[in-house]
Amino acid sequence: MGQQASKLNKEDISNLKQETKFTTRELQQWYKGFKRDAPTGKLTKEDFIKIHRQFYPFGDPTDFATFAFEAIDVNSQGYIDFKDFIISLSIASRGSMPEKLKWTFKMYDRDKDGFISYDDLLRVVRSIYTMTGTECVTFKDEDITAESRVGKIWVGFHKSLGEKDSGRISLGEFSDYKRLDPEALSTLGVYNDLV
Amino acid sequence: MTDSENSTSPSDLWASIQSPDFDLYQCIEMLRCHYDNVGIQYQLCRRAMAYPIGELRFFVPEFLQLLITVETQSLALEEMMKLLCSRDAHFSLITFWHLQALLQQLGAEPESVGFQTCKRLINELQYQLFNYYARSGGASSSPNSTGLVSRHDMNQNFRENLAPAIALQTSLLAGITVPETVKYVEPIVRIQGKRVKTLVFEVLRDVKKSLTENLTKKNTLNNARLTSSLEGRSVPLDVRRTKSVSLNRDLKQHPDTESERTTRYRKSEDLELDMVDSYADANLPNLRRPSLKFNRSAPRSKPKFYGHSATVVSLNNPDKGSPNSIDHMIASMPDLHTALSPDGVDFDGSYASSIRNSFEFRDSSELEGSGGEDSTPLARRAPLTRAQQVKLLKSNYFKNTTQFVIALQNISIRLSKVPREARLSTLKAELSLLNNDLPCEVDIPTLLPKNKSGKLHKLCHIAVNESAVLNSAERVPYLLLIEYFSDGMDFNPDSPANREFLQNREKFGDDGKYRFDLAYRNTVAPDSGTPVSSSSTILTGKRVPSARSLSEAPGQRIEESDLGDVSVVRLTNKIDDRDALMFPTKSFFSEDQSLHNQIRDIELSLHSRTNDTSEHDKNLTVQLRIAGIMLRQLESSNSTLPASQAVQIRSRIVESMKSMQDSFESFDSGKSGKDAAGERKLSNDLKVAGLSYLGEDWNTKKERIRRQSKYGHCEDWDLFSVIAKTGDDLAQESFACQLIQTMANLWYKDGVRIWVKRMRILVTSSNTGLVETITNALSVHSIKKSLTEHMLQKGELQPGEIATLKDHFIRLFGNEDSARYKIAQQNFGSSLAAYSIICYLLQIKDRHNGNIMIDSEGHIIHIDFGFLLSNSPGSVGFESAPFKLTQEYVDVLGGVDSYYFQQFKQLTKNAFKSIRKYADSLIDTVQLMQTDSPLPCFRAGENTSVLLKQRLQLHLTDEEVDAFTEDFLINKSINSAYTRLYDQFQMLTQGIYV
Repeated sequence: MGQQASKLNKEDISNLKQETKFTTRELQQWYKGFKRDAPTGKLTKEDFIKIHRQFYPFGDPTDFATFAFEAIDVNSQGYIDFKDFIISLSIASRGSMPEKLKWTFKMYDRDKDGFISYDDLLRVVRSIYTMTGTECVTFKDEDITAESRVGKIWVGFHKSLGEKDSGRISLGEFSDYKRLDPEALSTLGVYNDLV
Repeated sequence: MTDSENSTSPSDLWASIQSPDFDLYQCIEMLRCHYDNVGIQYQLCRRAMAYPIGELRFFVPEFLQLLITVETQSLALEEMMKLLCSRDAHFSLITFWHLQALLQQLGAEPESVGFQTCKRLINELQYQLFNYYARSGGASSSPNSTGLVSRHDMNQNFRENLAPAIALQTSLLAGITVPETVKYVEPIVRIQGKRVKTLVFEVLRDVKKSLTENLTKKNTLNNARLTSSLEGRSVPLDVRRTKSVSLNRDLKQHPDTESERTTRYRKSEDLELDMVDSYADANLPNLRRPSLKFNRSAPRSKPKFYGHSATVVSLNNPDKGSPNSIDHMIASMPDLHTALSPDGVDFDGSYASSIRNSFEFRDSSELEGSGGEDSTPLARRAPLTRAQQVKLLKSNYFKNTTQFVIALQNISIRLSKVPREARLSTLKAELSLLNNDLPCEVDIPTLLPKNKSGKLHKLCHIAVNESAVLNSAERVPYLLLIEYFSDGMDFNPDSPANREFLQNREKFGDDGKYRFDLAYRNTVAPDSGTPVSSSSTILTGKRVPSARSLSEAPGQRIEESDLGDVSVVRLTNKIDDRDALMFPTKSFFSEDQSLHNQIRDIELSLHSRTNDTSEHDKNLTVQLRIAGIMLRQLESSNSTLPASQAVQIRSRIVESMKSMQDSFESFDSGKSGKDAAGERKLSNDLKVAGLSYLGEDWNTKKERIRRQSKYGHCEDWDLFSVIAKTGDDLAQESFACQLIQTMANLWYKDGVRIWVKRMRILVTSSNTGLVETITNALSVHSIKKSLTEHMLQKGELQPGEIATLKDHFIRLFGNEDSARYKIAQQNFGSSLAAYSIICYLLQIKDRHNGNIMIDSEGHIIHIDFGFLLSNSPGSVGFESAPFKLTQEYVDVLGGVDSYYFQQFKQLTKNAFKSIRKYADSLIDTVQLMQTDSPLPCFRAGENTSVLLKQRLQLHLTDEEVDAFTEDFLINKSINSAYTRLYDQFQMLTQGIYV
């Protein structure tokens, strides 16, 4: 991807059109926006954390932003380029449910072993709680702590709380709608058609 | 709010925002200092929305000031304003007028972010106010951040903004386990996604600069040259489109009747921006244009057609909204600021004509869209949805109210051009003209008392004979009494009145009438190009070509009107007088014969009586306007008449004008023999009580007017009195009232029992506004003047002596031992304490007796805030006492050792201590408003709030403050030599009683 070009070249476009659900015009438009807001063409982890501070000012988003950054930086380049960004945006705004679930799965699999362990889950959920701050988001009583929330999810996947160390959730299980909280599932669709 | 607030922990910040004690002052201050975080901005706005709309209306100036002075990435505040405007009719009108004022103030720097923000907001608001066909609803469904919608843009609610796009993605990542995250962040993501980055301006800076140079030289009439200059630049843009854009602009400006000189600057600015839009559109398709001013779908017509049809079409039925009228609405966007003169001095009618032009503008585009053959578009139009009906009702209300306000402003300008002796008759004539269009869906926000049922008021009549010209300043303020129905209207499409309105609209469309104005229609009468031979032509020449008949032969009509139209336009460029337009090219003094005929006409019409009162009044009004023009021509240097003759003619005209002043509504008042008797009785009563110098009591006056009014029988009839003012200090005056109200609120909250008059001022542009009058109060000056004369007559005073306030109190309330007198003393003391602290803290100056009033309960009230904070009259530090506390005041309270004086001292101390507790509200407000403000009270700039803080003596303890109040405020003020000096100075120079 040409760093200095103000427009995507034909090759970039045809590649990205295959990997995303955006049109040429949309890709050019987003590319322009990306270059405007990140003139180097690279989004660092620090940039990422900064952005999250803008949206979650009442908590500490450092950990979560790091996890999310790593999930979007698919090739572990240490930065997010336009391609990473636009593919991820395409999934988030126009992806199918399985695509979205597969995409989220990657972030929750902290140790990259292809499965989500109890520990993986707790680390991420805890970072989310730290990010939002518990005062400004109203949780149901049973979800008031990250632990209780994780417990509920864990049980939802038919895992027993006794097997915290050994149990794990596979992508297949994770993609099984029935096991996920219906509210969480509907959440995945809120931005459909927005972008 | 101090800097420490910035360093509080995030969760404390959250807690303080959510605290029930969190007030709007804090909210506004935090919006100012947390400009750099979109999340905090959003939460603050959400919190602000929880306050009652009445409170939010009060803070419109602050919100707008935040928007234009605080640069932020957040769109939350802007969205909040839009949402509130769409919810509340009064909120949107207040916002609209404030924006007008700001736009004029910022006009000197059209490149500034502030100006651009204002411009964008006002465009959007106009869209919201005047176009009912749009999708209605709140911000959630509001089209996009510029408010200008095209079909293309409908689904483009999310722009290429990196940060919200990231937040969008990662919130889904979090949402799969903690869905609350998405719920929390989604609204922020949506709002921020709308952001339009103005890259356009950066890219185009150079192009723009070179264009500006070219354009400012150009007469905007010259379309061909304009476009060729663009082509000459070989900027690769869609020429046809650009043409239509610039032509649109042109035709909007053609009918403007104010001098070309005053508007040229802004015109060129606007054209230039249009070109930027077009350029951006052609070259940067990926960037969202800040405005869309043309019709994408409708077939493009020849520019010539476009350019010439404007004024004529305005005669035509404007509102034949065809199904694709969304685009028309974009085109119909009234761009009010284009006509506002930058210096605000010679703004004669420009605001008015710009509003009007907005309607013409729509006309022309509708015409274009319907292609002429579509003479019955109504039949084809889908019925309005309920939401659209509500919008239509609202837009009708906005239209009427803004036009009414413009009419009031124009009267003020007319008055200033008429000799002093003839002003009252001119005022009455003009006001009676307004009555032709009343009752009408007009309600004046802020000034009228709140309606408990949630309905709006509806003005029904102006009591013409009660109006008064207030003084002889260059801008002539005047008082008018307006009758209204307190339960006048609402926006419920099912109410009988609204249903009727909607049905009529359905059947006939908009009558396209510009309300509250006579001149306008006559200007565009078909024969307006030819000199008017006699005034009677004008009078009978009503709107002969009806809208219906015209629309049947559009092509022909346009051909026909070209000539006349052009001549009117040319004329307007030369004559800066709107009235003169009614009588184009006519000089009344070119030949003797015409002059005498004219005067005879005037005199004749005075003595003639038709049965139709309104026709009669209209007739008189026209005659008076003619007389006004004649006088002006007489005084102009072009007059060829010998001086002696000129003087003679002048006095004859003025005599005629004066004699007219009692001719209005004579049919109404003639029958009231009974009232006259009642009045006589009243004045007798007052005489017996020795109070005749006070004039008529407000309630008595109200009852009398009610009896005379043909609407008086209605249960919800009510009356209010208002002063229409023009002048540069309106915005400042309104700001002063706001600060005083802030202090009053703080005292109320803190339980300090002192009295402050709530003064309401409605700013309608940077130099016009409406001011609430204080009924049942008179200025100390006029009390003393009348009382002195009265007592001299009775021999109670020796020549040279002047009546005292105490004389007045005894006369009004009884002897010093009476309970009534004591209550009055109490009232005087509690209000004096409040105004003492107000005057000290805000440094309100120019406190002569003409600016201080006493009401019928003994309260003292300060008015007129032309000088406060950092400006004062003259360079001499005349009024260096902390506040005005004369021996006379002390006497009214019963002397320095009296109970009431002690009470006054205690109240003053309490008032000061109380304000210090909440000093931040006051300091923050001043600090916010002083930023980049051109108001004279901020002459000290950033120091203004620093000095205010110093006066608050925040370093002192409460005990020390009591001592300070006693020693440095009260004792220094009592009998200050400076105060006396200032009063004497005013006595000598202005004749204001000491």
